[in-house]
This record gives sequence, C-alpha cells and structure tokens, in this order.
Amino acid sequence: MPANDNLVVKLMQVGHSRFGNADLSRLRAGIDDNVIWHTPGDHPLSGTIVGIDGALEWMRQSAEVTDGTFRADVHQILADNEYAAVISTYRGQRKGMTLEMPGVQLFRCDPVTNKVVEARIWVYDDVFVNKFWSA
Amino acid sequence: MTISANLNAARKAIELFHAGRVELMRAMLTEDVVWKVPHKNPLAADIVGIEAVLGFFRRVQSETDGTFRADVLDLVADQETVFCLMRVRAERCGKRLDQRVINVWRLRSADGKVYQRELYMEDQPASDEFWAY
Repeated sequence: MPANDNLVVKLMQVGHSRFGNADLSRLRAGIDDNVIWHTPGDHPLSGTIVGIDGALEWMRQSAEVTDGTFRADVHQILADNEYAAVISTYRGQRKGMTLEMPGVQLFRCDPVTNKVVEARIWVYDDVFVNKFWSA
Repeated sequence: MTISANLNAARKAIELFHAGRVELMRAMLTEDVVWKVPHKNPLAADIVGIEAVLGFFRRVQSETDGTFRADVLDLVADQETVFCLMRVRAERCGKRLDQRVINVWRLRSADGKVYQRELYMEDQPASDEFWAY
C-alpha cells in the first residue's frame, strides 16, 4: 500500500481510532456537516442519516446498546484522494450474542476539505446483523 | 499473472469471469481457494477448490440463461487484498437482479493468488429473492 502520506488513509486511521476510543467530539472534525450515512438492513440503526449530528448519534447509540463493545477492527485501508474502502472485522456483544463478522466501510471524502461526505456500511450476513441490533 | 500486478488486465479478466469465460481468472486463483457466497439462497455456501468455483459460475450462468454479468466500477489492490466494487445484473424467471456488490479477494503472499473471496451486497434480501426457487 502506498505510504501514509495519503490524506484519506490518514483520515481513516485517525477516524477509526477515535471511533474505537469513543472520542466523538474529535471524530466530528473529520466529518462534513452534511454527511450522508447509509446503514443497510432492517433494524433500529439501519437506514440513511443526513447530517453530522445524526451520524454521531448513530455512533453513540451503537456503543450504548453494546455496552461500549461495538468496534471495527481495521485490516486494510485502500484509498485514492476521494474514496476509501476500509476492510474490517466488526465485533461486539449484545444480549448474549457475539458479533464477529467481516465488513467493509466505503467512504467518499471531499478532496478539498478532506472530510467524509458519504459513508456506506457493507455487512457479510445481514440476517444476523438484523438480529443483533434488533434484540 | 496476479490481480494486483496489472489492474487493467485484471478488470477485464474479472468481467469475463463473471460472464462465464473463466479461463483468464482461473490462473489468478489458488487450487484450494475458498469462495464465500452469502447467504440464505440456494447458491449460498463456502465453495472450496478451484473446480468447484468454476462449477459455481457455470451454475450462475445456467440459472440466468447466460444473462449474469458484472461491470467493474472500482478496483483497488495492495499486496494482500483486492477491493472490487461491481454492478451485477441478471435476469431469471421473470425477475431482475441489478445492484452493487463488493468483492474482497485475499491474496496469498507467496504468489499473489487469491485464496479467499468475500462478497458484500448492497441489498441482500433482493439477492435472496432473485435466486430463490
């Protein structure tokens, strides 16, 4: 992979680290005010959110309902100066269930501001994901 | 040839592969490749071995009267991983499949060949409905 001088790769590394540390206030710095945030599936956290406050609330809730265990372990970040694919394993615990599943987060960034303007989550097994977040 | 060595050539090989012409991409796969197909439709399985994977694609073509095809929208790779965003389209029994999917191919470090593939769909229920008997 090209070195870390790619600004989008850096944004992804910093952003995922802040998400992992539940540092939502600093996470805000890398997200556009009008971000579009897509979550697939049919559960309380699925759907399309528009706006940074809604996206950060989504993150806060994902932590709250999993007692802070929900996280994305990042394996690879493949990016150019606009798009990034973050290949991950999602993990979390909820109501006796264990989430451990490969997934991909796709981000589109504004090349001028280097902030995320659109995010889409791709999960391997949507039936389990629906069960996990709906219980 | 490996996928990451020449992305333009790989793009062509990937599109031909999904259209049922498997020869070019065959050389990019390990003999014991694991092809993970989600998820609750009749085709879903972890398919193991190159011959079984080629058989799977023959089945995809026969199930769709040869209409299944994939257009590569984005292809990025490093030494370990290939990310491929595709639009897949097919028709079957009066039903139509048209959605974006992500393929992630994991590469063996020794020779860059694919040893595992994972698939992520934009709309998994629509895919399950399409393939259902």
